[in-house]
Amino acid sequence: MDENERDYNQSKGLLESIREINAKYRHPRIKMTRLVNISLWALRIYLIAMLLILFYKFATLVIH
Amino acid sequence: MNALSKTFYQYRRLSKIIKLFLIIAGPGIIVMVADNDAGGITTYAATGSKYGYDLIWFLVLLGPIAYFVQEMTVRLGAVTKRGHAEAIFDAFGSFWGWFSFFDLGLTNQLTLITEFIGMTSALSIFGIPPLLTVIIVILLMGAMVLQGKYWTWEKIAIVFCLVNLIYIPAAFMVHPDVNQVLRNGMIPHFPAGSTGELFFFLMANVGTTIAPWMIFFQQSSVVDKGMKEKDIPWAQFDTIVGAFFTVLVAIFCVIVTATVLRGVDIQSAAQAATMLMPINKYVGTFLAIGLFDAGFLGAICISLATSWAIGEVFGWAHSLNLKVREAPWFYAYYFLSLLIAGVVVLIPNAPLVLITLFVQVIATTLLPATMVFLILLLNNEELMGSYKNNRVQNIINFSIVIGLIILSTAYSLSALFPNLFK
Repeated sequence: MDENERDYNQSKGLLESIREINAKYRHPRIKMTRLVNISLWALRIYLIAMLLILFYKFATLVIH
Repeated sequence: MNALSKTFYQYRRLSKIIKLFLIIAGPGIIVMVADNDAGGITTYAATGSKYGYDLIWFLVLLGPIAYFVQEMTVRLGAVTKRGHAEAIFDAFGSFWGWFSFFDLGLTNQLTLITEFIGMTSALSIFGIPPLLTVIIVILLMGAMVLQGKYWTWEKIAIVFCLVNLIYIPAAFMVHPDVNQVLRNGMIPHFPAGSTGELFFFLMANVGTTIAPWMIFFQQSSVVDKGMKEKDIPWAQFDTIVGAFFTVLVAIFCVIVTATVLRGVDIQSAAQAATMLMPINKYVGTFLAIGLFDAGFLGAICISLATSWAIGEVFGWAHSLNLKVREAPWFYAYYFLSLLIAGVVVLIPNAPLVLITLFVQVIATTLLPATMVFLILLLNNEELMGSYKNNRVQNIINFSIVIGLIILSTAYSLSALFPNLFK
């Protein structure tokens, strides 16, 4: 990244920056092999399970 | 004459090697020693007082684990010239990128608060009020980054790493029985007692070994230092040296509390230091200085890890080699994060225990994601070329990653449900 690009990025608004980041990284660049697919799915399931456990914990805290 | 010239040649060669190492050494030693942060020191102090020397062998095992994980960040940073946050966005897209980014930001901010808790409680032992500690810390950390050179920052950080070795003389001052340390500590075995409690302590020690910020910090640090592929062997050696020191400090910290405070229920390292003061003033002082230093090292690494990540993702200038006017957002976030942590610690009756619990849980959700991304990136031939993981590295690293995910998840669950494993 050159200095001009850096200066331009620093002067942009936050929302504009986020939009540009989303557009720039819309598509994953990594080759979707079986290992990558399985790992990402396992990660999704893990994170959803952790979230549900967290919700359960806070729900029980509120009830008691 | 021939022997003399050979000796001189060997001397020149050795001094060249040492000089080169001193130039390249830094990120590995700093990240590993900073791994023994305020929370880590508390865990070691509690482990020593609870199980004596019995779990020292387990701490020795954690050294290679930390090395193998951190070594991957060295290769990734040196080959891609990108920090971990940017690498995740680029390889896995914006969804996983934002997830990692926000989780890292939240975890780091909360961990930073726990470092400030450690520092303020350590200096309060000497009668220094928390407000003054917060001001001193922010000024000191500000001066470290504002001098405008990564190299200078790194060397100052290494001086603070050396202070972390204070636990070694402290351990000798309490006169432990060396035979007992070797007999009980070096032969792998599990001490008798509640298995649930033992499991919790093992998980806590594993939890302090690898944290998400360490992966982000070392990779960004390798990039900021400008390391190239040819520097990888040196950076790996730097990480080995760091892993050795982190285990050494952990062992000596355990020896101190195992020798003097055996059977005492320790809730924090500051409590251990306070209890040691009447027994041996110098050991108590050393423990308190060590705790402050541990919190300080953790704080400098964590705040930088987040600032680097923000700069990488938003495309803002993010280097310690740049002046404030060249990288305003990088320095602005750095100071903001310190200020927030300092203010939270100063709030009367702030829920600090809840924050510590929350850190454990949130960090656990980020750790598996960070490690999965790390290992997938290291297996990407397009990205890593000949530096990708080989078969042996994959067997070791996959085993470590799966093991760490299981243990850290169990730790997080036991933090949420304290009776789960009892």
